[in-house]
Amino acid sequence: MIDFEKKLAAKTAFPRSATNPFSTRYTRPGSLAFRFAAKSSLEQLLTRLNQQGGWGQIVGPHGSGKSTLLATLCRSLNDHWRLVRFSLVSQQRRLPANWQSILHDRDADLVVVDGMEQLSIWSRKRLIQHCRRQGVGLLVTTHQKLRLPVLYQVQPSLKVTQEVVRELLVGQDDKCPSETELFRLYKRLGPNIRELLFALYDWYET
Amino acid sequence: MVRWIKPWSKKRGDRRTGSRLLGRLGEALFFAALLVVGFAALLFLLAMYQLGRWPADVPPLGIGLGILVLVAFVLVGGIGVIYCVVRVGTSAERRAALAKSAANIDLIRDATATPQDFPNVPRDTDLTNSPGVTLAYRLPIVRSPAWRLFATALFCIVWNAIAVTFAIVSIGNHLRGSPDWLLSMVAIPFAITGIWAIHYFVRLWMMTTGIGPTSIEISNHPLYPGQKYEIQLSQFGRQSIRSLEISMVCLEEATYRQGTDVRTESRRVFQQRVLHLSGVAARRGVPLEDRCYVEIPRQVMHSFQSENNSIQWMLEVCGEAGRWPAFCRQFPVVVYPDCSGEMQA
Amino acid sequence: MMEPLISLNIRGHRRDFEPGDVLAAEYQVDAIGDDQIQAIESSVLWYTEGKGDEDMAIHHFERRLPSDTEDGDMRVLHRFETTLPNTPLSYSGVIVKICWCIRVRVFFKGGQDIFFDQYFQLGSVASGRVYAS
Repeated sequence: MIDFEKKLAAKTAFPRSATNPFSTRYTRPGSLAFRFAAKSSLEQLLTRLNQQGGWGQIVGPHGSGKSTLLATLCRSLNDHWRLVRFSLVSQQRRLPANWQSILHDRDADLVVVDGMEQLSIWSRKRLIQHCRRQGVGLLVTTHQKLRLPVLYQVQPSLKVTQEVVRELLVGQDDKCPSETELFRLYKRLGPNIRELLFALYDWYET
Repeated sequence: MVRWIKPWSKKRGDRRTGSRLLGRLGEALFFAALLVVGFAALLFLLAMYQLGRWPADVPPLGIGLGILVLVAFVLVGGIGVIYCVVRVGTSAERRAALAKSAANIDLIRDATATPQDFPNVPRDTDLTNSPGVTLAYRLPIVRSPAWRLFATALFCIVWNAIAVTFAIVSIGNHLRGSPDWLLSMVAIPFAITGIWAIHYFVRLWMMTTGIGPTSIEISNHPLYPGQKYEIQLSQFGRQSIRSLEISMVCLEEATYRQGTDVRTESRRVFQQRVLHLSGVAARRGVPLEDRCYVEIPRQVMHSFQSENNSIQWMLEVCGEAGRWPAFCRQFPVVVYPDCSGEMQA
Repeated sequence: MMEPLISLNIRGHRRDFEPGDVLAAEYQVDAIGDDQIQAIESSVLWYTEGKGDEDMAIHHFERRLPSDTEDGDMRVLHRFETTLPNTPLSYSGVIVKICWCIRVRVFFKGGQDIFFDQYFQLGSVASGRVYAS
């Protein structure tokens, strides 16, 4: 037998390895509940959004949880608004060509855009003007502040990060990063929880 | 309404795809046009300046901005042409190029269909359409060094043509006793970049011709676990080989997209040395050749490809030659699952 | 009110299969009225897990409506089977994992739905961690 096969024979055949709790299926927006900072809650945000006529921006750096917050919000917004949601991928500078028809056909009263800063200035202006003319609300996520009322500024703290990790590792007390390890990761990666969770994926695999 | 025949595109629902090659050709032509326009306009400006027909009422800032814009045209056009040319040289196996380019990702592309019998196993048509000289198949390389050399040469020629023109005019003005300091300031960075480009090109040329291309032939394809295959290595070039190693490698690759975050991560999960050579002297006009066998271990995972994830197998040739830095060349292969009773020896 | 219960079993109580094997499964739904189920979907699928976006493909799919049953009662035991494909095999890699499962999803007349997964292994491929060590 070649070396590899000897190695294989020494281990259990067909190891049924446990799923990694930091896989993207458990960490991507919509999979995790958003954790609000102290003095904030989902109800407060919904009230504020209503008061602002459905207009607002969720601001925060890369990987801080903007899309996660949006996913949490949208679940409640669906009950009270007819919303249409656009999620922009990297380098997507325009909305779909037929976005106005989509809004019209669905009789939307709230437009949600995840990744507003990716749109070109011209596309942004067109969207904002259209929503103002039609009396439709506009809720967006963005890295830098735009000329929209701020709904929430996402800035995950170490405490929030610890809570997220604890939630993902529920039932796995024997495999948990120490407070020091977590603090070190948080210090290195800052508010980018996404990168931190990717780093924890690798940690878990070893 | 007139229906125009579009022989180079396919309908995909409400969208149309085009031929990938024509698309890339279009891109290359666009960048080439930018390059030509920028280059021609710069030469025209220089000619006007030399002939003393420079408009007197144009402020120096305006001239400077104009030159800056034209230089940007040349840069963008030149880099774009090089990028397009380099991409044409890559093999069809590089699915990851889509995610890595971070351009508008068109997921509906002219992908080759996987056989019904083995869903999500890449087809090996592109790997078996080149017969070998000694063994059954000659494997294509992931990225051909020749394309890179051609692209670098093109950039070098164009850039240095501009740099030389600037230099001649600037030096001429200085010798005549009427120095143009603005032109001299523009000429200096051009000259420095031009010299660097020449140095890079010469180094790449010497590496490519000195180290030479690598050829891998294999006795059969696709590969099956538990089977042995013969490999023929041919390493061309004038340089003596300090060390040369062939390894069978398995790579996992995963792409994640969320908002502006597009990341592709690779992890090497298997590596087995197949051949190791060291201290081989070069013989003029005679490539270094050697044969060896590679056995695919049993119970290994087969090649796999889906939209965002893949498991890739390849033969990797890494070596050190002469005084040049180490090089690594990869030759993708396809490993099928172990189908007992249907395996091919 | 009790939550509906989906009982899903692989016949023969097997968890390990090889390509070409016939996978036979059965399911039933309890703790719910016979007139509350709108539809039931059963599927055999694989999906990827790891550091990349998930990919998924359905190998076998069946959707049943009350009109497909004799008396409109979809809660009773239902069997289905499918021949498993050659690829992709189950794989536990480092950043890419491939998992096979049977999924039964019950749609209720109120608009909600619940699902239950039963995992199984296709093939006997070594994990990526064995390769990497």
